[in-house]
Amino acid sequence: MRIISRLDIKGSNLIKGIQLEGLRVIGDPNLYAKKYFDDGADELLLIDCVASLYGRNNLFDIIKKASNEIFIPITVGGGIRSVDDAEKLFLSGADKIAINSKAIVEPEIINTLAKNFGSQAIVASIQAKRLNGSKWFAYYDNGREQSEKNVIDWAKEVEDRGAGEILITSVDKEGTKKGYDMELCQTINSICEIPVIYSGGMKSKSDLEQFKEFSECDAVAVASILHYNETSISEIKKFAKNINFNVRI
Amino acid sequence: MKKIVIVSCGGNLLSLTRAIQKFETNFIISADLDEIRNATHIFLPGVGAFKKAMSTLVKKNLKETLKNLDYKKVNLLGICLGMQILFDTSEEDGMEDGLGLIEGKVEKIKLNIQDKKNKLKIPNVGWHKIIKNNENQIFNNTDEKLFCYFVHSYHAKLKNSDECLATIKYGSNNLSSIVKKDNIYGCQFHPEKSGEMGLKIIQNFLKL
Repeated sequence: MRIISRLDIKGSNLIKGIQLEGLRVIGDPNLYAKKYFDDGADELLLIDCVASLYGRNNLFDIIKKASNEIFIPITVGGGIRSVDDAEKLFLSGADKIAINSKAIVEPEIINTLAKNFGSQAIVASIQAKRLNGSKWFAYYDNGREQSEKNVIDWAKEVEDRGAGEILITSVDKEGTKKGYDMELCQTINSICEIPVIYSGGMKSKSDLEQFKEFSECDAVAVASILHYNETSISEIKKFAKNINFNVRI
Repeated sequence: MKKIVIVSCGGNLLSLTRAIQKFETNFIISADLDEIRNATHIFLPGVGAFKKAMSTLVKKNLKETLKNLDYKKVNLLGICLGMQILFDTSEEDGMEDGLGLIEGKVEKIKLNIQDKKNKLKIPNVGWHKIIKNNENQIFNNTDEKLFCYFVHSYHAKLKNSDECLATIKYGSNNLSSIVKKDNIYGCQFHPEKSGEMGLKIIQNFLKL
């Protein structure tokens, strides 16, 4: 199991919202990124959370700086609309890119990106929100807009189109520290053949216990409880190890 | 006098560059044949697909150059796909010849029924504990528990098992993770993305 720290970034600030809204400034993203690397994070996930709105990703300087001092994989998302956009991020130090909004309106971009950079470099980001208490729909523009896509069908589709991993974020739980939407996690786990990163809602390290029913939980992304110093990467990893997850310690 | 060259054949070289910079200030990124012929330490990175990487090497006349170096003297480190192209052939995208510097072939990772039940995935993405078969200076100053970061769907099957320095366990599979023949080394994982321990491996290679 990989423990990934997720950093949502607006402009030059690390921010955190609740259900992807009401963004609060936390601090300098590079300082936090370095701290999580030093504490044993397995990967970093950097999301420019206003990029889709402005139509461009602004993380280049932050990634370049991060890759100077951080030697774990870095996934970058937000506002990627073309092979060119992706290429620029790779050249700035991204190892993988996460794509959502553009793929919703033009799913073929996943095939194109996978062909150009290899599936291993393409993470399909899915923002799932429950509607009418039953089905999940895929949202875009950082959780603001609802698409017509049913999350379960969409997860299968991005896999077929060549995504190498799926980042599944529960919009309902994101930033709430109320625990994962386990029904969503279970459903995605049962249908996907590629690795899945579960994101949104972790309230404490003991939440990991819920993933024990999965025969293999690939990765979780953690944000709020790290940024607000309620726990640390090393504590989470120790806990995961104690309940017999395969973690790097 | 050390002469370090990162073979430039496309892809993101930034992380590798930054990792090498930790130990050496003097190195070049190049596809120039003379630079490569005069190098003492060659990094052969590689991201993407086997066929595309080989056709780039052929186009730049690098295939023959890399094949004909004297690896009793020159040190080479192939990383990820750069390790796989050291072998004779790969079945990725139909059969394709590699550099043939180490005997063996590159095959898709196969999962058996139990592996599938256990939800093992392809590509194999994540950190794995390196299991050493032989001691070697490439392991100097690394921890007993040496974890490295892997992203791959294919793996190298060696003809001579003594050229396999280390493996990882992936379900029912033992996959080669570090190979070595003469002064040619190959890592299936990304040392430049494997934290402090990965940096040690790069440092050890540079000390050869």
